[in-house]
Amino acid sequence: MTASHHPLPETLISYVSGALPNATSCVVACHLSMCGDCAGHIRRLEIVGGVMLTNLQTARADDATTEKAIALWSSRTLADEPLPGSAASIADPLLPSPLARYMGMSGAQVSWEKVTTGERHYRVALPKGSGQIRLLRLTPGQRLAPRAGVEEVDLALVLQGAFSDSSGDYVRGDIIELSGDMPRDVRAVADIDCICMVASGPRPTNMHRRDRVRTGSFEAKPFLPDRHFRDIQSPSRVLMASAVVLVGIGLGWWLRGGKADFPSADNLVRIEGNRLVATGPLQTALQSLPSGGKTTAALPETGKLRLNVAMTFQNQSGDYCRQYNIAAASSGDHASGDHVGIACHVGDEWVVRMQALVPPASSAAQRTIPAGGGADPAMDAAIGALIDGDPVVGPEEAALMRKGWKK
Amino acid sequence: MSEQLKKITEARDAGAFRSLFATFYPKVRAMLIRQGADRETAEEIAQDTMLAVWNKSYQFSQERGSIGAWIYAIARNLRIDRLRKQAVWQRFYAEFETMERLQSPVEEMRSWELEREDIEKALAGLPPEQLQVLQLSIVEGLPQTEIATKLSLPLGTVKSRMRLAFEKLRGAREREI
Repeated sequence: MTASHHPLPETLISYVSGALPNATSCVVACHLSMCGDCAGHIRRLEIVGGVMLTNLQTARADDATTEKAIALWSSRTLADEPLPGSAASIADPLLPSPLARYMGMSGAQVSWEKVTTGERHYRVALPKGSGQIRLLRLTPGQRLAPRAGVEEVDLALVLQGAFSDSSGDYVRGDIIELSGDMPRDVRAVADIDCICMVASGPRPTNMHRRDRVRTGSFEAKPFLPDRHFRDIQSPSRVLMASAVVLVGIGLGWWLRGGKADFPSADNLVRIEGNRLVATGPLQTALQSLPSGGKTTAALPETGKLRLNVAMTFQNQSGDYCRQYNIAAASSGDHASGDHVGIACHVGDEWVVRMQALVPPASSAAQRTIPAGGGADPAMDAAIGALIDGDPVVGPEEAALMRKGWKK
Repeated sequence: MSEQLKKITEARDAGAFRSLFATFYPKVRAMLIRQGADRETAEEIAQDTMLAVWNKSYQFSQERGSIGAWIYAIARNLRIDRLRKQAVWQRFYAEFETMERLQSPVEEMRSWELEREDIEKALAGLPPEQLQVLQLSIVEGLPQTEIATKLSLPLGTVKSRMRLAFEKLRGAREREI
């Protein structure tokens, strides 16, 4: 399969130099996995890098420097990061190998969140400051509805089906670069769902060398955080206040038994003194589901429910915490709203720190729970008050899971 | 240079490695300093880069075109990891690196050694202003906007110079076929 639409030359150059933000780089990497021509361009640009590196005029290292460095190595080993050639590819009919490997799941396991009729999203968890990657799914004939978070797209890569806009038709492997808004007339045109991987922000156009800040001993570029992480980093008083209210209402409501069409807290938590400890399927999900993963459970009195884990992070005490969603699987698409909560691993238990009820939006388009990650802005703010460092994702999360979430 | 790497891989030849180290360690360190690292960090990453060359020499293949290109890629990956304190990009990149390279029929006809020779010739023939933006991106790791600021040029001019340089590098290959 050969793609017809490719990244711009300057984007490939910036990719090779490492100057692209994470989210954009990831989309380019996925395109490269599907496009031999562009993979060849990258090889050639790395040769350019090699020539330029070799041509740098420097004196040879003297013997003392060489011996000193070699002596140092005897007492240390390189961090266990994958170097070129160390990872195994994953074959998946939907997700390109780099994305499938990063997400640790196949395309069939993606838990799509409905945005509007005919449109679903899944948000790929990335560390803060990386920008956003979303998977966008449109049913045949569906037009993309403009909304916040979708307009500011830098790159879009088609993974399945096809879409068209005023600039042409795009099929699997094709990439479109957008200097501004997502085209307003995007429409899925094939007879199967169109699925795209879209990347947005932080926008390098706002970065200048004079604005660099020092982090550690390197001048790091101050990537503008995306909408989601801006909330996490600087939760406003209003958001924090609303989070507290939601947490109180959500947890109290839940413990009192909830609504008839929504599972109560029975079989999901137990009260130990002043702590609420996850149990049953909630405990199992927190213990063993990767971020973005979902499962269902049938409880004797409350019926079938859907659980998914959206994010893993470390709090200021060093405990590993996970954000989860619970919804009644039998009540349609969020008919009664979702419970969105945070539980932290303390000792050998998952202690529920907070929980919010996110009521069903009055219209589907107003829903605020992004697929697979985040919740509503209030919960984002609550996470922002707890989180210390970046979200734990991919292989790091899998390793923690294997270790039983020990600190 | 590739003979030295072969000796490192097959015989763990410390002498061959010392020679590679003496050549490339100062260059990698100099590149990192240009990219904004302080002296200590540049030395650490340069040492890690060379340590990776020693430990992973078996992963080098001629399709890299040159040892310089391989070392450039390792140093860049380690820099990004240190700079962003996260390994997302690197994981994605490592994945791309391991995939079987999808070759077009044109590429199958040419060796990467010839490719490198063509690229060296094309670089030597680039107009200075195009070579400059390429160096600022590839050696100094600057985003396009920072290149525009540094050179007091409109962003569009930087992009167009990059495109022209890219086309000339690509054109050199196609002319040789």
